Amino acid sequence: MKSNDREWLTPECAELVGKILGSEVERLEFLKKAGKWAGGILLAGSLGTLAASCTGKEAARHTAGSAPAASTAPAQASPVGTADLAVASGGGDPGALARRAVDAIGGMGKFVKAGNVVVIKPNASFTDGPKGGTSTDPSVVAQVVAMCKEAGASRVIVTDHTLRGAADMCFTRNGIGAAARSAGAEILAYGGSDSSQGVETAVPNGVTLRTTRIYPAVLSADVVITVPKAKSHEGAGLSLGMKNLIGVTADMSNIHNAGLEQGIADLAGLVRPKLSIVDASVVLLSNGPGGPGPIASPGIVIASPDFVAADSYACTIFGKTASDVPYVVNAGRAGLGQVDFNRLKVAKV
Amino acid sequence: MLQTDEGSGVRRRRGGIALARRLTQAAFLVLFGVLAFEMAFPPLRSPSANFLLRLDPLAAVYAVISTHSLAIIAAFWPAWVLLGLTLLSGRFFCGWICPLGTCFDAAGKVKPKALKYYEPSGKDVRSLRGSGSGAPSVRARWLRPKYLLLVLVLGLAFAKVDLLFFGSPMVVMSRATYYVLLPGVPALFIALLLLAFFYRPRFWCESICPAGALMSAVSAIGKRLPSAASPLSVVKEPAACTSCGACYKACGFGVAEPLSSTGDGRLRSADCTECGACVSACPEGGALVLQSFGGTLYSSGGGGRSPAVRVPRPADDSILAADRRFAISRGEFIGSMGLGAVLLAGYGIGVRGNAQPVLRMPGAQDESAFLSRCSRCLACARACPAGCLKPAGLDSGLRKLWTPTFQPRTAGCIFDQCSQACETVCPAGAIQRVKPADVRIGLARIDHRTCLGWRGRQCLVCMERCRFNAISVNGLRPSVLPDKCTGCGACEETCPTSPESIKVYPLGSYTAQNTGGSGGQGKGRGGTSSGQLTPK
Repeated sequence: MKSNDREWLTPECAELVGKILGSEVERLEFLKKAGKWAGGILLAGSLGTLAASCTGKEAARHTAGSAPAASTAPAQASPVGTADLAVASGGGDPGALARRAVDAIGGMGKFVKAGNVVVIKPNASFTDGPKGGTSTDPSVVAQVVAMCKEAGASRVIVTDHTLRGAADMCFTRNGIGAAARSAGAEILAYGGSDSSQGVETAVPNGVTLRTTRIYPAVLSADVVITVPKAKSHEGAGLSLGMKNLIGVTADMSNIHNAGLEQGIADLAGLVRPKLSIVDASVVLLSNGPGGPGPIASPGIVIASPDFVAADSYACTIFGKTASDVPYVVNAGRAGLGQVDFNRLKVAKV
Repeated sequence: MLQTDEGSGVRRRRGGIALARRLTQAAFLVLFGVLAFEMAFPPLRSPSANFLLRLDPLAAVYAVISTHSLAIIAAFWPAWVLLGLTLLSGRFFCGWICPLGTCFDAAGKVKPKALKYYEPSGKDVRSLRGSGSGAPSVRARWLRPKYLLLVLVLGLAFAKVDLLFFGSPMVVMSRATYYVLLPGVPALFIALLLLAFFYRPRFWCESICPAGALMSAVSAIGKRLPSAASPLSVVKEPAACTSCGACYKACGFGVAEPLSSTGDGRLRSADCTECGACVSACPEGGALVLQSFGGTLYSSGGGGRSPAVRVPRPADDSILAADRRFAISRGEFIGSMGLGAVLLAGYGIGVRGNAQPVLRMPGAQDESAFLSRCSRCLACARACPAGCLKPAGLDSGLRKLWTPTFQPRTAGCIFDQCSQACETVCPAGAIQRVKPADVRIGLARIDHRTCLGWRGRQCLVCMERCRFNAISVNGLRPSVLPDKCTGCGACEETCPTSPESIKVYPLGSYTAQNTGGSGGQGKGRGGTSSGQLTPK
């Protein structure tokens, strides 16, 4: 998972860092610093770009965030949103919300480069459709796949380790399979308790989770995007972007024995999704993750490269804070991201 | 193999009848494999994929004894048709169709020449001379144990003890394919193959096979019909016979009847499989003929050779009459009943030794009916798309050996998704069709001492996995709602602790434990504690 440690940096830079640094601790520290540096440079760069193109109509449309019409149209020009975390609200088509949110943080092209292999991890664990509040809305998945394709991804793989019923059946009934396929993605559906399809992988910075079994497609991907359904989870507090990552592992046993509080944070540190797009269009309020339970319709989609901040923000939708969801706190403590999203540039679009 | 018939100069295919038989056997073996594969890998396209399993006449008779269900008895129509044909054409099934017999023949073929035992031993030959006392030849004597076993097997069927698992060639083959497709050791099949290899290829068929005995019995009655009424029969022309004994040496079953000087037209041995080996071995033109409804299919003289050592013509035909007999003596009948009683007692011990109930598939008959119907062919275990059915080992007791048991830890049952594939392929009516809403395989119980949630840790995988909302949650602690739990085992399959902290128990065992009264006597999983297991 070396490549995933370096999500903060460009691949070339990260490779260099990998060569220079030996010890894990040093490396982590350096990465944090380098990340901040890189973030600063990026910010400055994009501010410059913004200033330069401030007069352009395209830029105005995207930064203002008041042009829902643009969201459904294919992105012809590159969006120039500069936020660290974007919250698209107002309901309507969840897919359109997702596109608006991603555009506001700089567009998919910022995360997916031409020729990249992208793994998208929606929550496809249950058979309920979008109304059940248990699976990621198919239109969100479809839009994310489309955005990746537009950014030039060579392959887009949508995968999940489903929970209730045969894997194929879950993807069929919750509509994610058809939506993703028609947008041009491949489906890798896993299910059951057979962990043999995962590759035993060490978790270098794991506190309680030492090893896990990850599906090979995820290990070899250039970019991993977590596209969770925000919903109640009686076991973990809430099921959000990091919790969603359990579905890239074949082995359910290790992480639960490691304790979800820390195990999820450790797993997130291993997988390091480049982007988190939290679907809170319709959410399950309790009796999660599978329901049935009370449903609410916040009509929100959150997008951020900082998956910790995205989860932390999503907690507020449920009237909670990150402190109610231990894995978010632990991920923040591990330096995976910013629990206090107010420190980031948040765009509401 | 082409050889010149010296007498007539006409080239004739010596291997003709043998080749035809080999091809037919191979075709049915392939068909068996294809249907086994069809049953093994979902989706099951044809519900009649178990056709060959329903071709077994012994299984059909078993169904009559054990099910009293007209629908199931009628579902064995291929077997009833086969028995009808057996009446007309003897044990042609054994010579031309039976896949197990084909495997035996193949085992005999691959045997090195030095080890080959195709020809009767000197003792057999000497015994054929007879003493005038009417005693059967040695090999004819060996034709008889199968009748005793047939009586035994059918007798025990009335006592609800199922011996079909060894007595039916289709069941033995079906189980062998299960073990081939899903790694395992088909012990009985291998044992029989070794027997065929080292002893006589068709020893099982001529001496042991109860299904063969049933067909021999039917055949013995039907052999009184003229050959003109039979689709396949061997007819002898005594005038052309020189009593060289080639026919006897060629017969895989050791049938001596073709030697008979008084053979008059159709041969009537109850054990003859109409395979035609004697016909192709006979050097005399027209002495033996394989006929179909009176018309000649194949005639002798096609290149067979007289053996160097001739088999003497039997002194009297009473020896040959022994070939034709299928009835057993009173002494033998009493003996077999006694043996049955001993076996039954052995079974009783086996059953008592392990009365622990096991989990079966949804819709399984109640245990005693299930055990008397299930032939242990494991077609269900092959058909299960989830792979949740596994054959019971000896640890479940002799009576349940090789019966399919539901193993939730291996895989949960997906009866709500698979349209009961196990029921579809079961040829014996051991499984009933059941509405998904009515399924109660067992009941899950949580061991509070090992459950992560009950130890204050975040988990609830059982709740995530439950498709029936049968897990209620209090804080981090899961509990099973008995009225919603179907016993599908999705929770047990995925419980992250080792061993599993949630386990499906057979319904009987659970209620017995629940109504057992006072708690606190739990001695571990599956123990006799009442209700939920609680921390010490």
